[in-house]
Amino acid sequence: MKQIQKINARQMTIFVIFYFIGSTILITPATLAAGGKQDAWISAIIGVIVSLFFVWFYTSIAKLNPEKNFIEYLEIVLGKWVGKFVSMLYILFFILSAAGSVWIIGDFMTTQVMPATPAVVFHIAFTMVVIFGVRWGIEVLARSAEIFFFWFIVLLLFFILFLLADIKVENITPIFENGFHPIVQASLYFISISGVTMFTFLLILPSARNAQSIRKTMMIGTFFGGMVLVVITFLCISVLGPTLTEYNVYPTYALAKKVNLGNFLERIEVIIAGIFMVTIFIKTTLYFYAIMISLAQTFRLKDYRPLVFPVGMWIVILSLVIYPSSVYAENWNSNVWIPFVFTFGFVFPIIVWGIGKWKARKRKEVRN
Amino acid sequence: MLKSIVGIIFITIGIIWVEVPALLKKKQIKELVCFSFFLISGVVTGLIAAMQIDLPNPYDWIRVIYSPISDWIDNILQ
Repeated sequence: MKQIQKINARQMTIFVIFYFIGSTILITPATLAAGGKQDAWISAIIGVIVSLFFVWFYTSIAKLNPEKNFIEYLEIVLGKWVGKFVSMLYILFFILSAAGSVWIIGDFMTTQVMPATPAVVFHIAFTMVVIFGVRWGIEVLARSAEIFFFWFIVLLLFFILFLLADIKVENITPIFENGFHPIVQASLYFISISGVTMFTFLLILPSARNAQSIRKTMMIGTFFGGMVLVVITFLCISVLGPTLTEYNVYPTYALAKKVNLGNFLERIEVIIAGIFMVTIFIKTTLYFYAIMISLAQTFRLKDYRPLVFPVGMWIVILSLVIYPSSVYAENWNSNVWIPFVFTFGFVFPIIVWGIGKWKARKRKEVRN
Repeated sequence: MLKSIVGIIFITIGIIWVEVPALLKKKQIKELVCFSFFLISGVVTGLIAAMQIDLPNPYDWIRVIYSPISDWIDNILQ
């Protein structure tokens, strides 16, 4: 399938920023604090640096064949049938990841904001918005992301400014109390959820209008998104303290409850929650878009739009099934998610990249 | 339970109403096959879920597949 709708470099950067922040902003401060304690923000910095390496690697795959998306490239490199099989695995991965993001929204809303409403309502409502985003195509999505971006920045700045007064230095000291090992260990989950999932952009990059500058675009976006996450983690640790951050399921939301301007402006956490609604929306939509591109590519469809509703139905069903409880989710995420995502974000891409490079060199030798 | 079954059926009719005429008009048979596959499987699973029968969880299967590797990672990290 040709990706006809094109987006420019600025829109791509905004996509990368939103996608990188994604659901990470909501859950990782807790995971980072569980491992790194008061040094969680250092883990976040390590996570961002490693993620930049991953992004660099993905852009070098994209540069091997800038017009073709990754699924197309899989079939060229691995042969038709092996390629199709791996593409199906990728489709499965994207569907499950999208369902996981929908589950996070449902869980967040039911546990924190509207406890009396059944989760399925949020799952369906959220998926409907995602469905319409995907149906209208990436160009519409990119423009709406641009509009969101302004509000995102405004809310984020408010969030940070209001909390600056509450920072307690004793919460982040002593630095390196438990040594370096737990800090690196804690950053692994951060990398797996933010850095490694960036390979989704291998399917979206062919929509970029200027293929030359993709590496720059992606790196800038990742860096900016990463900085936001570092700042949020730092605020969580320094305002709430490492223990509270660790034991809150959604520490960022707990942090937003702390916003208090002269006992006058308070309880604005739902407005702040707009930040993660937007980032999770973009992340889910890009996953969904990746499903559509992969399906269209694997089955040689001319148009992916008719499939949006049925696949959306599947995402709602799966989002209700995959995580029976938050305990299950935490256990699964810390045990299985990391090898699962590394298979798709690291093992397959490195095989494809290796074979692709080798084939390109062979072609050159034949020509000489 | 009845409410969700009726809801699913209504949504399905709505989806068919929106998509199928256009597909038939453009004679996109491959798209129609794919569409039907996802819709029928989705509706059936949705109806089973609406009847409050427990669906198998794909994440359990993935856990079984990855259990050797995740045990190994646990060992390294400890």
